[in-house]
Amino acid sequence: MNKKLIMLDTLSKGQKAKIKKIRTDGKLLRRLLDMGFVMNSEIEVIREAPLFDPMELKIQNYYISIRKSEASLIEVKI
Amino acid sequence: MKQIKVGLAGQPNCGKSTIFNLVSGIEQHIANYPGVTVDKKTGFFKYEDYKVEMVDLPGTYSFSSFSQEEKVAKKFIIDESNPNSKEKNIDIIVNVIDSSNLKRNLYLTFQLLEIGIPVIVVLNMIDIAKNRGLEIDSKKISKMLSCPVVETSGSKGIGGKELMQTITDTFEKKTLYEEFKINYEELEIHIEKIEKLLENSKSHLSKRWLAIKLLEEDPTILEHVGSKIKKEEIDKEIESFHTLHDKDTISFLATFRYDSADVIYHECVKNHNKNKETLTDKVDKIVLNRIFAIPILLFIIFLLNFRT
Repeated sequence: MNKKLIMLDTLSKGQKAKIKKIRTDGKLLRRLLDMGFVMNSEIEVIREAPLFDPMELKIQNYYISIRKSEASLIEVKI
Repeated sequence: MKQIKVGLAGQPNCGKSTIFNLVSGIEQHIANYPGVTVDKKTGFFKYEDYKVEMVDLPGTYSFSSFSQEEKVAKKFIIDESNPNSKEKNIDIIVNVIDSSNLKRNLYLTFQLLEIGIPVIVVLNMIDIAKNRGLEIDSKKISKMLSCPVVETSGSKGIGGKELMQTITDTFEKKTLYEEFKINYEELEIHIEKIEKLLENSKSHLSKRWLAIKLLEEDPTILEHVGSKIKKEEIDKEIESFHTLHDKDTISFLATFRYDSADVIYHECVKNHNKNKETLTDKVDKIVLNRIFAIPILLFIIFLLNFRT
């Protein structure tokens, strides 16, 4: 399991990872960068909504919820 | 009577409007959710021998031009720092920060410091940060950012007087203003090249700031510099940075700013109860429990509807 690159939406509650790449561009990329989804930043999955979407994350010492469709564009390393 | 013009900038829900009301005595609508101030709002009031014009800008996470709020805030800075404009120029930017969310807020601070207008950082909601066990060394932050830092708690009415004092002090000592500069390392050479291209530009804004914003492909700034610079020339620099370092300028700058915010956080903040749960965490554990959540929700709806 170690050092594997996977997409953020596949992580489950309590897992920690580091951001490696964001596979999108334009407005969405800018917003994700502005919210702290930058290279090598640490991320922790806090919880998922009852129907598994959206998911709440801890990043840059604060909490944020994002859609699974957005999380599936973010490549992370555990 | 001397006139001071102040712009209030900060991320959504950091308490800009609360600070606005605190120091101006004007009642502006405030709510406990982000995005209440969508357009800028101006208030005039007197403080000692000064006539203060305070502009409450909409909250922005960043200082690019990709949302309506960011455009409003950016346009304000560009238009009202133009010496040829009929309007009075902006003297000071007051950057309101949510102290309990320092890192993300500093991301915007770095972008405001670059503009070249004196900035005062306001550590708002300092009481909440303290309750959460965060000990913030504001003197050290002030030293590292080379700008004044004031601690406030807008909702409790603390720090308004200190902020006004700092505003007038900064206004009087304008000539002593120290320009803030982040060294962007491998990007510097490209910034310099764009700055050179801007040499003949009549813009009143800092060339360095314009160059950085152009490398971020900011449409408002591109429009501002107009025909003085060709878009192809900027694209060429962005492209060459990409081939040299395998990074795009937008992600590079964002990462660099968050890394800088991280340095400040680690130098100036001590977290005394790292693993202690906040009240929200405790409540969440119960009401957001996978099994109990729905019954609790139904119970609350039941109470609300059938309490008569």
